[in-house]
Amino acid sequence: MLIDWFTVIAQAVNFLILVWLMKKFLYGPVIEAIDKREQRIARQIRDAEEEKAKALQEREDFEAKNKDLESRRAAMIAAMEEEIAERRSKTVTEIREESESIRQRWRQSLEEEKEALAESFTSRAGQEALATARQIISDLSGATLHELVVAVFLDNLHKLDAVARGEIMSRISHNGDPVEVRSAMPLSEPDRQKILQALEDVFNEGLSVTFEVDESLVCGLEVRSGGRRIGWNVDDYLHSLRQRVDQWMAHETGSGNPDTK
Amino acid sequence: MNLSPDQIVFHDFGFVKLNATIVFTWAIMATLVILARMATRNLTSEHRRSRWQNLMEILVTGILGQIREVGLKQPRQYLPFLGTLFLFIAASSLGTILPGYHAPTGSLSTTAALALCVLVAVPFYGISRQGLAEYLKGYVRPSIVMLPFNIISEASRTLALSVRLFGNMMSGAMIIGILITITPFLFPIVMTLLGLLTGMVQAYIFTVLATVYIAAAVRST
Repeated sequence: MLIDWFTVIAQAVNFLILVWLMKKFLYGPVIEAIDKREQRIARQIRDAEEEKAKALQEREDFEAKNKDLESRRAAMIAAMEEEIAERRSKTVTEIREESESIRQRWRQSLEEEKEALAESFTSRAGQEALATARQIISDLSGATLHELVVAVFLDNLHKLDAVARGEIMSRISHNGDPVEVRSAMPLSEPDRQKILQALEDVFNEGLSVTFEVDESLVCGLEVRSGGRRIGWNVDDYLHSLRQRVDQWMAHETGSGNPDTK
Repeated sequence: MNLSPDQIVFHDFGFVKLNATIVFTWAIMATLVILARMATRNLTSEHRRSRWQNLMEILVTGILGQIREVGLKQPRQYLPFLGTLFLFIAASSLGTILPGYHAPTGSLSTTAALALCVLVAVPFYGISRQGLAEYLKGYVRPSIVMLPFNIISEASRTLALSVRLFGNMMSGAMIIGILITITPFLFPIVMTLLGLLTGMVQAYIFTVLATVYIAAAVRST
């Protein structure tokens, strides 16, 4: 007989025991290890995907931020350029105004200088001309310039036209205005007598006459009464000379003025 | 000459006999358990793992793949039974390279025991999967006429399983035994190699057939 029933039973039991042992020592641990690894891999993949999603999100955020920054930068640059242009035009305007005011001041000071120069020139010219004239007259006639001045004044007084004479006379008689004789230098007594005599001849007697010295006349003599003036002095000539000098200077500076270019 | 290792009795207690079949089965069991224990002692779930662990994982996942291919959707449930069936038969065959060894599967008692285990396992899994009533209905499909044929088929395939394995293993050992007496050198070694191959094929066939029977039983109709 090939089949031994005890052996069959024993082998069946043996086999079942082996099933249990293998389950405990082989399949169980191996499957557990595989499961754990698979779980770990799945977890790692999930983590990696989460990381990737996060990274993508961060990249989007970054790009958005970058774009925002770019636009803000452009806006700031535009604003800055605008401000620079504005400031430049303002500065140019200010500089222009300042240069204009400097030019005005320069012109004014030039005018003043011109004025002063003309003034000094007039004064100096008067002095020089007077000295020269005095010398010439003295050399030629032997009389002093002053005597000539008195002579010319007396001549002028006599030549006074009727209208002017009448006006002065009416002022003296009505208002009682005094007659003032002004000269550049003190008059000598004979000259004073001559002038008094001449005034009484021309106007009426009983005039109240005062003599005064006025150096601004430079050289000359004049009679003032009631706003009227009769006389002769070098100042008048000098005045006309100065006007001519002014005209000449205006011409010179006008042609040399950069503004007119 | 002994046809079966059952006839090599080391100790006789009357009905209970300690024969070579049982002793070599224990030896195989001890070897398998020790190897499994050694291989799974330092298991790790890291990517880097030992060669032994790799081998065991390949073995286990390979068996699982085979079970799944046959048609069982949850192979892990059947792994201990079918996997052990394969490993035991394969180990029994591999042992033939050792001198003085007698394969337990060369005993009709062992193959009958394994076939009986399959005979019990099929309704066990079928009932646990579908319930008793649904499982029993499978015997009368497509009509009640099929009931005797189904029962005969159940019995005959158990018989076929046990005799096929026994015949192959026994014949292999027998041929080698005969050849040793005729040509003592070289040729028996070639036959031993062939015997190893057929032993592996038989282990595979036995396991796949058992899987197919279980799959047929658990498949819902």
